[in-house]
Amino acid sequence: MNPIRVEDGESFIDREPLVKTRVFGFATNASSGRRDPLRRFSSTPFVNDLQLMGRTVRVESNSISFLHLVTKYFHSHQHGTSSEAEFRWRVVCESRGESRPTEIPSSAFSGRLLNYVNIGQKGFLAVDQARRQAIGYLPDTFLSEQTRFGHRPPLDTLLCLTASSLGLVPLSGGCVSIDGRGVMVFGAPNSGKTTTCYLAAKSGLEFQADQMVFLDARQANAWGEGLPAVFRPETLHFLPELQSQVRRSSYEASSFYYFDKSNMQPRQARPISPLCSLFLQRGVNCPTVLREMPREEALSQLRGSVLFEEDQGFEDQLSLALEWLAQMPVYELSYDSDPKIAAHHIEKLMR
Amino acid sequence: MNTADDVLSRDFLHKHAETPLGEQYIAAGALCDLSTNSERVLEAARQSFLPIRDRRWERQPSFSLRLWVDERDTSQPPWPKPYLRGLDHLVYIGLDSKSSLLADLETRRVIGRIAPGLAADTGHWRNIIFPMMMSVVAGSVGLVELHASCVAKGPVGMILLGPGRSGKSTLAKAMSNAGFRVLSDDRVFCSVQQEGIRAYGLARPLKLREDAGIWFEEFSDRTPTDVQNGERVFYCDRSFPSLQPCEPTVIVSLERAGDGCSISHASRSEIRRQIESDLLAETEEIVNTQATVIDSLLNLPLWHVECGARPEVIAGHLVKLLPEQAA
Repeated sequence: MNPIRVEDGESFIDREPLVKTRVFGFATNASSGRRDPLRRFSSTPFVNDLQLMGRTVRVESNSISFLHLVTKYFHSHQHGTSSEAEFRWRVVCESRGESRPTEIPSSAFSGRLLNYVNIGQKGFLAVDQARRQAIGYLPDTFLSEQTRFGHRPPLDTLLCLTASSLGLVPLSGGCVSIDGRGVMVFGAPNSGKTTTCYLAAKSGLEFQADQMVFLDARQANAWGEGLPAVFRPETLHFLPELQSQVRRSSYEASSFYYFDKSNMQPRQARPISPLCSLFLQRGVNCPTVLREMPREEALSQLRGSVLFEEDQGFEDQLSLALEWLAQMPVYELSYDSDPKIAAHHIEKLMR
Repeated sequence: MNTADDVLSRDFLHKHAETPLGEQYIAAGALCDLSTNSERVLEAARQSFLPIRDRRWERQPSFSLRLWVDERDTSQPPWPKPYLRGLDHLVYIGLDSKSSLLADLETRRVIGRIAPGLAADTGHWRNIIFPMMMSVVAGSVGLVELHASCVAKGPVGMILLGPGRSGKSTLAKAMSNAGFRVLSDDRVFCSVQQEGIRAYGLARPLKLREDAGIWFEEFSDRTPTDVQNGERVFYCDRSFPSLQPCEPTVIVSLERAGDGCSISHASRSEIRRQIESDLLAETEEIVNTQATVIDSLLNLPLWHVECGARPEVIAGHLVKLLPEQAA
């Protein structure tokens, strides 16, 4: 039942049965007997402390399946001992009897220390950085999806919106590593980051990331991600071996292919010590040139790789993390359209 | 993250969205500080709330409202039914797949991203979005929302409480024909201010069910133009409610019964039950704040009216319940 009767002159908000309230940091009116059509006092009795990049996030939900999903999604981080929770995610899953949409438009907006994303009209995630709490409502169709492909739950979005509050700086880029030391790979869209990292991983490196990397402003190290790698359709012509390993997806006018890179990753996520950063500059019929950037240029380029702008309050943390990364060499590699060239340079930089 | 351009944008969260246009309004008795980048949103707010022209009114806003119109969004009506959900202090209002509001009831602010087509639909803001938003923020800004109609003569007002089909709108219309101004035919926002208790309505047009139209000559040759919950209704587009507040001096609980008009004293407990049964769940702090408003309302003369007679007859009786100067 849709609880909103827009056209109802009696009430904008339907009368719903009383929902049992739950106390967690808020004084509630459990005894007042009032109605809760907004579901503000919904119970989220299923709780799990999730480990994420050396932090602990408390996840609460009305759905045990959601908790299982989150744990599975971030399974490579679930090792070691958990610390006190730094953030709280409360997510309610709703059954709406909807068929799975082929694509869900989303948009985001923010205020000071308050960010939110609507996922279609009837799903959203909102992050209150001041109160260190995120909430969300998601259709339970997400629960039945494969966690790593297609219309996966927007847990990566939730992580990114929470990252700054956890002392993490998300950058748009990739990373390959070996023995805890890695090369950070950056570049404009279609510069070859994913393919280069994939090819480098095929030669024996660990495929830490191709979408985003997280700088740890507290520990001076970096973390990869476990998302599926995203290849463009044209890459499949270049790498036909991927044809049988990818799943096609689309968003608005774009088509792309998901590739599960977990088999090329360590079973347990560990922080990476970057050896250097590499900015890819793909051209056509251009000579291969590797040059080390001056510090100012390196800082400027790294700042341009920040995944998205955040509140000014995180500026110090951001600057600190970028300056730390810029202490290591930052290179620009101009190369012809063949990503094998870039992958080969990464292997050389790792030696 | 998705691969859509917007998502890949570094300003995914629109931290740099500018909302340089600003005005203040009295919204159901609360001081609303609106900032936006759209003249159309300002126009919708001017039609929905009382604009504050006099800057001497300036004081700390009860809540802030920041609405950014994304000119790239091409969404057009008809708009889907809004979707409301919240947890703790955050409430989301989904207006369509890319237009939405988020209310932070702790810091008393509402932010939102809106399609240009929606921003331009002033009727949708006046009739749907702003009333819904006010229902959401009411408790956090010290308001008590009553399921009631409200009429006034000069500053003196009467609140007509009652469930659906008890005759609130019909009697508000009848009182209007008798020279009263209508503040609301369905939802009334009350607050205790320096001057005492005050009641406000919103700018939604008065609405009558088809079967109520027979009581009023102006509807005798009209057919209802709208359908709500399967019922045909008239919108009295020419009688927009007054946004000016009143001082409620009497509360009447309506019950449709019989074919006459029977008036008796109502108990405080019964009126309290009626008021509270319709309030939204809130934090204990807000419940306590609202209790002050409710107690003030319960100190007014309280009446129970069983009504079945013609509306103008009942209106004639109701007028006598008001203080002498208003009657």
